[in-house]
Amino acid sequence: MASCAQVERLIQAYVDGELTQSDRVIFEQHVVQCPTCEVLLHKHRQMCADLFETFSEERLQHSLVPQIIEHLPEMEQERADVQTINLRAKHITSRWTRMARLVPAAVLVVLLILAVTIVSQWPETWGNGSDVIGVVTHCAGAVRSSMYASESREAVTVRAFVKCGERFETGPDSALMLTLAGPTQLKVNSDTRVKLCNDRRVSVESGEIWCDVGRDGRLFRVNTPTGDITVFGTAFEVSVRDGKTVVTVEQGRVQVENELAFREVEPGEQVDLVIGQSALVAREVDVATEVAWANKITPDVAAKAFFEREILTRGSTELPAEQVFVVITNRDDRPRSVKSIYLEWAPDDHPANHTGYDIYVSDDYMRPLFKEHISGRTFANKRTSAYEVATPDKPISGVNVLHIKIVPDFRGGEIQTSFTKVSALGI
Amino acid sequence: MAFEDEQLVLRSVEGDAEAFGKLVERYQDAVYATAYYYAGRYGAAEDIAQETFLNAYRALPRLKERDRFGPWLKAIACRTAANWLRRHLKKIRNETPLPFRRTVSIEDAREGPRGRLERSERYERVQMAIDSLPERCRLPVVLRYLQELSYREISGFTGESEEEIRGILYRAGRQLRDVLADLNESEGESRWHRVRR
Repeated sequence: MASCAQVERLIQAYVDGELTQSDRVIFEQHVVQCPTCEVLLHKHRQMCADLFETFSEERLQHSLVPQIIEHLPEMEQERADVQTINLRAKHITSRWTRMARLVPAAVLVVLLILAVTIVSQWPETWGNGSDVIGVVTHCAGAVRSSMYASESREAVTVRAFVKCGERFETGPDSALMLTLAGPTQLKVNSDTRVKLCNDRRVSVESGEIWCDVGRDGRLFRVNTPTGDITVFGTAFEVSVRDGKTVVTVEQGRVQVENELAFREVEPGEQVDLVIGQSALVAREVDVATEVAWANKITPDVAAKAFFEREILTRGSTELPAEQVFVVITNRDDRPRSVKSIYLEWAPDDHPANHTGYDIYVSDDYMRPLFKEHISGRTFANKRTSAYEVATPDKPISGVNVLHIKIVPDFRGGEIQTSFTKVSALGI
Repeated sequence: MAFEDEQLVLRSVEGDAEAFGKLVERYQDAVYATAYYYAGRYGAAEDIAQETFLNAYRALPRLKERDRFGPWLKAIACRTAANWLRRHLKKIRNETPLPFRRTVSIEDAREGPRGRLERSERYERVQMAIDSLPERCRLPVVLRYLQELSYREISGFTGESEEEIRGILYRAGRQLRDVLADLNESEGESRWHRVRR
């Protein structure tokens, strides 16, 4: 037989008629035999009856359906009606005042017509839009282009638009010059394959290019199979031949790197980038002879004017340059050993599509120490807001100041992260 | 039942008034009881219930989980009632809550002034007893005793499982039994029983 406690738990559901057949039989059997529970059941029933009775007058007496259905269709209409009635009733207005009320609407209509007119009158060349990044300003010999590696190649003509992601291939004894937003001049020698990822990023598969990068403080990058070149406004030549990349700087400074090391190259210097080389050595060269081929290529005057009219006036996609942090690593005038760099940032709301970052660490005299890469996925993870970069091999010692340069690579995505604090962790 | 709700919601969104009427029919008791729970003392339950359904009709295209129409409607009912109370705050502050305001009916007259007073007192006690319950229990109790909804209907409206409702009403019933034990001691038997006999 069920215990009184068990039966007591069933009492409410019993009174409410919500017990299963079997539970009800158990309950009723128990109550017949147990006077205590019988009294309890009586009391409980009484209480429920009292509640029902107390509420009986407050109960919903009729269905709400007809009234609600009646109000449904005219719901919106009714509101509008009330509003117009109120407007008319409260303010007796002259015809002019009533006309004046239409002014905002009229302005909207005029603006709309204007917008439609402008869009329809806009130069055709702007049509497919924002991915146009420059113009071909010189073309000689066999030059072909395509959007994808597999696509059929099309012959290039002067004054053609250059689009994001377009590839160019120059044949023997040919030359090509592209003027990109910036303005950046890009000259391409014969037997060269180059891809324009966007107006600030060029990828050279093989051959030789010369760049004069627009000096607007934004990042410009050239990728080659054996290394990367990062520029903040300068003129230089990149040549990719026989498994190595040769970078020659004409003006300004560029930063070159392979997968192991990085260094800055000054005007008149030349550096070879080879995979697996941990020390990048610069040598003095006669720049004039190195870039003689490029000087022969001059822009078509009409094409240049076309570029200035069509592209230069447009803003290009803004890629902010590096973020630089200076971390002091000495205390009481004595340099302390550093075992890692600690980067902190403010997490954002974007779920993915973050750009990765290259971290370049140099010493007091801007001599390169080491570099590291943080993947974009690190920033997509909202639980982390800090990253520790350990020094390779052994801790850095004898350095008073660390210059830490953080440069977006834009390989994985476009979303940038702003770093809030960079510190050095000692031993 | 939830499946049917989904069908009715879909048809209502397409402008089928009859389908919406079915939903109103199905949920009017629950919505009315919810409105009563919030603002019943001011005689506004029916107005609020109507307003709730009109609000729901307007918002229906924005309902994402169509199989959870009940809990969604409950949220709208709560919000509508809260808005109503806020709008009428000034007015109701000076108003006597029901049932003292109720006009004297023939029955009241027959019972005499004493009977009427007793009824008011009883009503007050019941309201206080319900107010003293844990917050989670109050709405299910009102749904059960005001409109006599089944456990299943209550669960479909509040979004809690039937087992949870069973537990809630059991605990509430136990507490109410103790609090209201002496409600009818002077009378011996409630009139409800008399009527049934």
